[in-house]
Amino acid sequence: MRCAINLDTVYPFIPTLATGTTGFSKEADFIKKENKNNLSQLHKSFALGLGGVFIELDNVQNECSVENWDGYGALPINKTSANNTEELLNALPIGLTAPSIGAEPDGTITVGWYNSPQKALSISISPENDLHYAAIIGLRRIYGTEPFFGTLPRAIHELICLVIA
Amino acid sequence: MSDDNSLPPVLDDELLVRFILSSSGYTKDLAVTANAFMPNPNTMDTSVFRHSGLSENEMWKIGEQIANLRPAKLHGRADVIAIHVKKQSLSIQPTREPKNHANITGWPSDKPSRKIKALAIALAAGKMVTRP
Repeated sequence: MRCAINLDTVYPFIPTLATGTTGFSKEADFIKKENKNNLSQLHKSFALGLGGVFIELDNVQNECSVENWDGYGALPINKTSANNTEELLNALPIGLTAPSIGAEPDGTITVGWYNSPQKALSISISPENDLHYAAIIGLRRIYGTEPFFGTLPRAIHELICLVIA
Repeated sequence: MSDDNSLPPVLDDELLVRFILSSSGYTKDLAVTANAFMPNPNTMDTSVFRHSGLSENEMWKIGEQIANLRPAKLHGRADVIAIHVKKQSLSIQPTREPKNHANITGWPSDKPSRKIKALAIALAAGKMVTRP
């Protein structure tokens, strides 16, 4: 996706466009569940979705399931981090450039976009559902932590747009 | 791999080599990722080798030895000039064993700060070097 749309216009509606809704009724729960299933199916398609990224996530989990998978004493992949990563991938906008999936020595999964030596973003998905991110965009260095509640945090969405632009 | 002050310090223009033993250390188009330089969670250091005084062939042999010891697959290596590490306010401590080894130390305690430093080093390293 090339973020041509103004995020200010879209964000008030994002909870219903992604996996969440703003309601708390039975009907809202039903819509939330249906949206989640539909988005998940779309994301798994190679034409509209993230294509092989879910396969890549499986491969990383397999490769990094044992201690010392990186040869430098890394911890095995944390299963909760892997589950949270799947949720994060499903919360990404349809049509977005597919990220690369990896793992860090502390056992968390990472999602990253490495566009050029001046533009890159790496996000670690913690078992506690925190998104630790670091981005370099030209001379700017942006890093921090955002909580993840099933919807892509706006700050991270904006960084993805800047990095893949 | 204990630090040793009697060893020659790492100079700014020295080439450091990080052997990549997992596919998480690079992307499909061989860009080195931040993951490749993130420190060990227990020791909080990143193991590297000093290229100085070694031929390309000797450096690859060290990589193979490291991979065989683990055991792990040697995917390639990330080469980075020491100044790019020092610019991140990190230290490079030479160690006596194994030969030509050093540790990148001084990583901050919070994760986003570690990530931004590792990312800057990875981008300075550029593409993963594969064995010819």
